Amino acid sequence: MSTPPATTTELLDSIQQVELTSQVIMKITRHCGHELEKQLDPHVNGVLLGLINENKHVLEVTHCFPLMNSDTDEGMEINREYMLEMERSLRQVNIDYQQVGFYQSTYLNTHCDRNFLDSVFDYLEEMNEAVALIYDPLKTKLGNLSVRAFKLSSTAFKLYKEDKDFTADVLRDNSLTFENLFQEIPVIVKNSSMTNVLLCELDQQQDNTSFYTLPTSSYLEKSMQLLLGGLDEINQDLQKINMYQRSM
Amino acid sequence: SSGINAEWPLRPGRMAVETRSVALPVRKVVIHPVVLFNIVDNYERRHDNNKRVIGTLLGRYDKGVVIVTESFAVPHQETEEEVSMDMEYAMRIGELQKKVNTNMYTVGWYSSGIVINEYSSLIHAFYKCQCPTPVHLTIDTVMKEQKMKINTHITLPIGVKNGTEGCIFTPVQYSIHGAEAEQVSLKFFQQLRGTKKTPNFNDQENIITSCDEMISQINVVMGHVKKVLSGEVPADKELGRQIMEVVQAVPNLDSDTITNMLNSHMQDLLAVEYLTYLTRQQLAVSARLNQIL
Repeated sequence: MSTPPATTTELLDSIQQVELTSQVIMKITRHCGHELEKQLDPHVNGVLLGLINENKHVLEVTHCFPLMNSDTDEGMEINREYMLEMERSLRQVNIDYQQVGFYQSTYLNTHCDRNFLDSVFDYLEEMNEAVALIYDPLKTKLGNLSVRAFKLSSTAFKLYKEDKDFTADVLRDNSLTFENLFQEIPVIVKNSSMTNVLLCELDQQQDNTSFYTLPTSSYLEKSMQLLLGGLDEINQDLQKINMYQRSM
Repeated sequence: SSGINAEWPLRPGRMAVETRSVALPVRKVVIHPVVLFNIVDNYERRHDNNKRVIGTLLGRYDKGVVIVTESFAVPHQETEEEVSMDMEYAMRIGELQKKVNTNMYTVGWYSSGIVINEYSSLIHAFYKCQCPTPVHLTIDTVMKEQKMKINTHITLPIGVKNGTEGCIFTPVQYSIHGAEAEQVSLKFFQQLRGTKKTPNFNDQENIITSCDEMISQINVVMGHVKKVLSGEVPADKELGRQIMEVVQAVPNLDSDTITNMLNSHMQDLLAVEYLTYLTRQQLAVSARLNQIL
């Protein structure tokens, strides 16, 4: 376990950019596409491996591997053993074995729930520079590669450490809203020279496919349904608060 | 060097390798681009004293076509006199990957460099007991001919029964084809061209480039049609039929109906935008009120 940061600004400045290689992106898209064939909203997640470049405040992600879907304790135990096994094995083939975060797929941005918050905190606690990479398969299918990196903002991290269940007073005093709960880190994609050669080679061999489908109205409908669901939840919470205040 | 490699009888003391007798026919290999990226990365990270790297190919077999979707590296050493690979590692990681990725099993192995020698046939014999017809993929990372050539082979038995028997590496047709999402990523990487870039999630740029491409393609077709009409180019029936199919695919509506459709769609979008803006303002106001109370 690394020592906690002395000041909260240290967490803020430690990583300013995430560098991915194209191999990592291809592996993530391959894994998500594989699972998407079975269900529309597969909770796909996996581990990112790489190294930290402290001089340039850059987190380089060089490899990744997928994890199984585990909602049960038994599943999580299997995943833990699997991660240890992979770590040992990857060391033998000279692949960076340090975990620097995790990746997750999203469906119309519904990934932002309690589980996600807990996972990001767990990874950040172990390593200050961990990031969560969110990959949007629907947007990518339409022609726009969508990979974004997030971490908890320093205030959110500090508050979570003190009390896992945020209370309203704590949120108000620190002016923590949904806007500054997560902090996005810019992502750049960088390739080695040999990968560039491979890309040129692939360019010659493949036909250039174009992506002409636009997001149809079903995309809009689903987004509206999710928005209505969110509003329903807020309504229910408001009613609960009102009833509680009335009974006081 | 020729592609014929007779499988020499195993030296005493080596692990006896059983080959499955039933070989499935393989007509074609479809390689997903992920695998090639993995191999190049593996080659870049090799130990300094290794001239080539090997690893296992994972995928599935579907009616004569082997679809290779993933791969992983296997530690191995190769000198002038002998070759050794960590077979236990290959089997262990193969089992792990099978557990995590459903419907993916060992379908072959890869090596960097175009040389196929007797070491290749030894390694191929090991993979023969993992799957009935292993595919051998070679990718020329040394780039002997100024190109990164990719070759796929399978082995077929050759020789006289009860006499000298062996296997010959025969080439198999391959194509590089990925899923839609992989192709999108590839297109993005090719725009990089040696520089660093952020993936932009702005739909507008994508629409603009797609429209430009479509306009240029329509111009090409129109140019061809004009040439045929003026007699410069002889008419081709097949091409003519295909162009007619494209033209007939456009729905036959008059401009008023299309304008009405566009407008109503636009109105839907504006209504949604207004409602979401209203919701956001409501949330901001309630947050302020909560701070006061």
